[in-house]
Amino acid sequence: MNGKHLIGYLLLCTLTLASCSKSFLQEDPSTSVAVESAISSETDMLESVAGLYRSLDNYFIFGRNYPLFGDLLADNVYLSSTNSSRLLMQNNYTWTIANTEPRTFWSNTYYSILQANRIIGSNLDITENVAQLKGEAYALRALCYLYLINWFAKPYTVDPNAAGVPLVTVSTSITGPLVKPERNTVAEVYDKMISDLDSAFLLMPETTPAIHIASSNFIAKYAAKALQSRVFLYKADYENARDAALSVVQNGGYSLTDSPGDFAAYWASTASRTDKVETIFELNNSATANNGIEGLDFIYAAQGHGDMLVTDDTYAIYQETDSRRALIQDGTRNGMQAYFVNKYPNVTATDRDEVKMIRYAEVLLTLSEAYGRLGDEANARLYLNMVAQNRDHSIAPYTYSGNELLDAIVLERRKELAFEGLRFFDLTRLNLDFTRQNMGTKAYSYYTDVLRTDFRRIQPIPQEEINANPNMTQNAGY
Amino acid sequence: MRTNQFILLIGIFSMLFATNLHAWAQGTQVVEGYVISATDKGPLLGVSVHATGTAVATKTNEQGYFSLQLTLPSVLRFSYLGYTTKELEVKEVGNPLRILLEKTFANLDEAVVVGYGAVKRSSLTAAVTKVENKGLDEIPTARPEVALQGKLAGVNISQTRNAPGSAPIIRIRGAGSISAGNDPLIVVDGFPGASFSNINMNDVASIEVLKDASSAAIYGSRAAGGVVIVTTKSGKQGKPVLSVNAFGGFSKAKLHNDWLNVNEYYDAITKYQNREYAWIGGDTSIPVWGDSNRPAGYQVSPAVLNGTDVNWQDAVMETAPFQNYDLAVNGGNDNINYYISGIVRDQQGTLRNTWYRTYGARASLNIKVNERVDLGLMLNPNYATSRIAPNNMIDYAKYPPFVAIQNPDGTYPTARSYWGAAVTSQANPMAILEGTNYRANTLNTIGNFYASVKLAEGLHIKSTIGTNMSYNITDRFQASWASSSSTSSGSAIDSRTISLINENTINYQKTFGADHDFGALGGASYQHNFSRSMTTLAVNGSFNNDIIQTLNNATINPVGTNTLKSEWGLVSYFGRVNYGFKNKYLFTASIRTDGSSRFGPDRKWGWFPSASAAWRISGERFMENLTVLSDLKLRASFGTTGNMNIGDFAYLGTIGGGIYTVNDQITNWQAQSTYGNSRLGWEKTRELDFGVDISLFNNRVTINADYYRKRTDGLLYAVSIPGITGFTSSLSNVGEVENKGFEIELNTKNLVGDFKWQTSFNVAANRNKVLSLGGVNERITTDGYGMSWLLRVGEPMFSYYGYKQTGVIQTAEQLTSVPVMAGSKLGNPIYDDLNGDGIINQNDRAVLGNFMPKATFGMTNSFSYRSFDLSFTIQASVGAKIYNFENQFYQGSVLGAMRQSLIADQWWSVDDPGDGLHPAVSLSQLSFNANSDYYIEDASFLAVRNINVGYNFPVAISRKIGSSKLRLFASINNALFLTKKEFHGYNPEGYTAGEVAGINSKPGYNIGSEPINRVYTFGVNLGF
Repeated sequence: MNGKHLIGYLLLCTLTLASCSKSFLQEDPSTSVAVESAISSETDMLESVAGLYRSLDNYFIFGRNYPLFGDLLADNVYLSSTNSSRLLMQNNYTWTIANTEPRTFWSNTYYSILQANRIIGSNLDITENVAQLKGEAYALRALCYLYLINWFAKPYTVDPNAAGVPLVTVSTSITGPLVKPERNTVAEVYDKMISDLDSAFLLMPETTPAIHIASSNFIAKYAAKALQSRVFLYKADYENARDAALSVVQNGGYSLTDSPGDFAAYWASTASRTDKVETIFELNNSATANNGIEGLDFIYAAQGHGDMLVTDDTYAIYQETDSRRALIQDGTRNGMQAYFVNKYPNVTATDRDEVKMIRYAEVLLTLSEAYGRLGDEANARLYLNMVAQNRDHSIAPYTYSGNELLDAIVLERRKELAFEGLRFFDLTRLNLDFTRQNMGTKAYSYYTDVLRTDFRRIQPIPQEEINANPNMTQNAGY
Repeated sequence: MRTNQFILLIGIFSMLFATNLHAWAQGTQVVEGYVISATDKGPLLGVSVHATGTAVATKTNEQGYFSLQLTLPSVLRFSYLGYTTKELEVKEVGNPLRILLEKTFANLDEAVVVGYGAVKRSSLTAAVTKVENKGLDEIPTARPEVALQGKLAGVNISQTRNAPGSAPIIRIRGAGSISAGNDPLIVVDGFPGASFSNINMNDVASIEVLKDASSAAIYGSRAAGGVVIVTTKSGKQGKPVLSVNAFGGFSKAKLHNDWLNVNEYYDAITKYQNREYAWIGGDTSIPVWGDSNRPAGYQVSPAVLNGTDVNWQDAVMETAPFQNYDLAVNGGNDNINYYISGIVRDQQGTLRNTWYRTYGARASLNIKVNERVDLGLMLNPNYATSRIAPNNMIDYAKYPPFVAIQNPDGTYPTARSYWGAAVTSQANPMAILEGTNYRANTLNTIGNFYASVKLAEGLHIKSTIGTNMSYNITDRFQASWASSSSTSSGSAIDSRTISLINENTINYQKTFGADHDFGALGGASYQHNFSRSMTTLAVNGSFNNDIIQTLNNATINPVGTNTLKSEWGLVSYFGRVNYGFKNKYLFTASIRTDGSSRFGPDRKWGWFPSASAAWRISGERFMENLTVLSDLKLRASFGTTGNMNIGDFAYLGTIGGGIYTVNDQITNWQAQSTYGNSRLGWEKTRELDFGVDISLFNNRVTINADYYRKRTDGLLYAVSIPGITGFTSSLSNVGEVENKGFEIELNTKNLVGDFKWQTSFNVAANRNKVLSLGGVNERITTDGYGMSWLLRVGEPMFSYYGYKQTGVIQTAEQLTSVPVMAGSKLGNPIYDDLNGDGIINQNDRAVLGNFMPKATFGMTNSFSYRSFDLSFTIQASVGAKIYNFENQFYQGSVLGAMRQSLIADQWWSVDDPGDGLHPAVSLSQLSFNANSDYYIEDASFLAVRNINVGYNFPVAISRKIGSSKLRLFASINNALFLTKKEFHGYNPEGYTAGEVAGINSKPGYNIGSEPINRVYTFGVNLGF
């Protein structure tokens, strides 16, 4: 027995075993996919786009809070004194940096942006299907940034060089360079949204491919254009707003309902549209996936929480003959008369109300306003009356001009788009002081005058974000 | 090349089959003799007989006989485990020698198993506690851990749930990890990662606990929670010995006896409803029933007084029998030894329709092929089956007393069938227990095969292949009439986990000269774990009938039906050296490196070193005259261990998904669900330990004391990251937690004559403190009703955090003159305004204690007199607090059953204000009480865990039934259980929301942990 041979024998044993150690340490998950290999086929991309739509419907963002805040923080809606303890600070204008809602605006919207970035960044060959799906992701990313920039930064019309929000356009990793970015300017964010919507429009085929049938639950080619008209309007770029809106009107194939009966039936339905009537894009809330008692419908409807009531002032802007007045329900709450929002009445059904994101009437009014601001009053009146007379068949066409015409258009937007979350943006982009009506004992509390100097017109950057990212700056006042 | 291989082969063969060449040595004489025990004068088998200074050695046979070829004169050393080593100089050959060996009192020479080897107790340099299985297998517990309660200093074994077969929580020297678990690594016969659930106590030879990091570090990345090494029995040389243990008995739950009867309940619930009504401004002079002016929710139905008076706690509990039979045979000869055993155990739960049964077998075989080669095989299948209660105890005990157990037609009435919507909507408890069939089955098999080769004197290599295969099936069916929503439901879960391990070690042990003991160990270990599970869920309400309870009788629900797979791999290399000089100065150092598939590519490998030293002062010359002192040893050690329990792919950003319907089509969706962190690495624990081992009066008194400081850093938990990444948190390595404390074990042999009395006493205290949270100072998790769990730098982790109650708001004037919480009414508590700013808000919250005991005590006394033996074990725990939130259910919150001690003295109205210390408690006021110290109770206890009395029949009698041993015994578990008066729960160690398991843990939160059982056992031990 020789010692050398023994050592040789032992080394042999150890080496044989060591050679398999590499494979021991490289496991792949069997039931979840690593991010790097997640989108490797059209089906993966289709499911990822579905995941993006699902993420938007979270009630912290588009599923409730974004559309609700647009009316609650503006002058349409107040919190009842009988309530489920939700959103008390928003009603009172007392929220702070520690508040859940701005934090979840931020984190959930960026979560959706991450999903869009993964789709946009995937390197599948561009087929018609891939083009459609990527186009949808571009448009939805722009939608996310539009809400972020308008809730967390000064309006473009006030200061385009103000601090906006960080533009994150690639999928990130914790060790990567994009984790602690500074805030881009408002103008940079608007440029990116516009270019994303251009990309979306160019990518999406003229006819929607079968992978996504033409349904109001999906972003279509002209839905991207419609959204772009809103971006241009908020930017006060009225020529481009006009062109984008006109393109939708001329080529999109959308229409308004014909009769008050059809209009009422349209709002009462929970089904998505495939006929291009009224809705251009809306979020699905089917029986299998909705927000339950946290949905937008539930917080408004009298049969739900019924927490959020319509102010008397807002109710008063509608003529008796206006079919939109029927979308407000005159009822009682805790023994007192109250106006309930009735745009989302299906809270007791399993299939719940869709959240309306873009409607044709908005595009018409954007077109009207763009013409008006550019001085083409005839066309401005044409499209204003197209909406106004459709909703109230008894009225004569408006004949306003000058500032009266512009005010009429903005008022018509308020009437048409109330309880869809857009009122606040109209007030801020036009930099108006506004008054939230004091509803006395019917209201939980009140905060009436929101001056253009009020720092709470912009939401606070979440404290967690400031803690985690030293390059982040807080909005003034917080 | 060819020649070389040939030589290698020859080398291996010669190594394997070489025989002892010393026999041919010249000029020797044959010395023979017998070694017998000084105590019973019986022959001792296997005593090692060694001629000092030579390689000549042998062992005694069954007659105690040995013979050796010796050059005379020479000194023979006789050593035997458990006996004092004796040396004898032989100068000439005469009659066979007769050597008497004395039993040692404390076995300084007993072998203590440490990782990948064993050392003599006297050579230990680390904090290791050993428990030998002396009668532990006669304690009737469904789980072996329970028999160890109170026996190990610094090892806290708490039974948080008491359903039959539930696993207790084992914490060695406190919890240091927030998210990655604090369970110790269980090593069964060398297989790391095993579980106590498939160990039968009758097969256990000994249990060693590696408490400090220096001893545990050899298990590297899994040892941060300490290591428990279980060594099972193997065969002893000799004729087959059959031993049979048969015992049985019954369990009785320790229950509450202060329930209101139905008339008292009616009065209390009337006061309760009136108080509720008064708070909303109602006029309580309106009759409690039948007047439409009083809303239904504030009425009291006269149906309460329908003549039925059920104490639901007593109705669902019963005296539960159990029985246990185990049988083992062992034996062997010079070349082979074997141990086979079987066990059947059937334990009924004290809660109706719960039980736990186990069937196990075990076979172990060791073969000595020749002087150099040993082979062995072990196989241990174990099957356990149980029926589990579907709900917490609370759901059975809280049911109101006016509901009959069963209707005459066999159906089960509900509370609402008497009273309507004001009362609880829950189904009848007896219906839940009868109509829910919830079964769990586990088949677990551990097996291993080893080969060991002696390469040279003191040099061994050993290779082991082991496997642990576990199959679990969980079936659940609930009939519509057993469900609160009146819909049937069902699910089936099948899972399997297969773990394979290969370990190769090389071990060298040699004494150079007389003074230098040297040992070295090297090894490599490869482990791979595969798991797969399948869950199938029925659509609620889709069962066609209650007869067929499998899911083929239902519609399958695609949401919730899935299969999951996962796997992990671990590659390790380790080494250890130890050196002792004159057995006085002892040093040990070890290192292990582990590579795990669970960590990011940048942090795959971790290093876990350790070092320890000991000084046996008693071996020094200057101590020789101190005869009182048999042994005195100082120890110091330092080591690093790790924790890898973070989930298999936590470092990867992964995609999750689900389904939803869009345009009436079911559509799959997927989205990124975790962020991933390629730098995710090991949680590391560094521990310092200083210890002293003292033996006095010829080892009649031994004291082992340790002080330790354990710091766990790089804590694996989710830290905040910028939300622009799409995620708000990501699993990272930040934060640090400290545990420090001391442990003392004291063993005394008080009386050693015919009447023997031994005492083992232990005490341990641990202090837990958060040292860092990775940039933030505190993190608070708040429960729905306001109690918070605090992680704050400087405080023990997961301390309760809330308000302190100081009194009750008695007058309207107090509402404005005293700082009160917004929305307070008469009857609500007055809180301590801690910061004195005149406002009660979250800044007035204080740390209100912690779920961890401050100190634990254990004491076992064993007596024997001739044929009688008696032992009892006492355990005490001091300073733990429990958040006993279940009390609210017994205070009327859903108009359920109430307990006198929980509703006494509280505020009912201005005219009935109670004692001024107990605020009004009700569901509507829960947020005023649940967020304070009101429900925090002292969970200290003192328990007589076990009393065991036995009688050994004289051999003359046992022979008549053909046995060599006949012992009858009786035992009582939890004979006495004392808790603080303020404690209202069933079990002071019982809580239902789990222990520390992530950043949002709520340890100590209890709603409905099961009662403690007192268990009476009678049994017989037979030997053949």
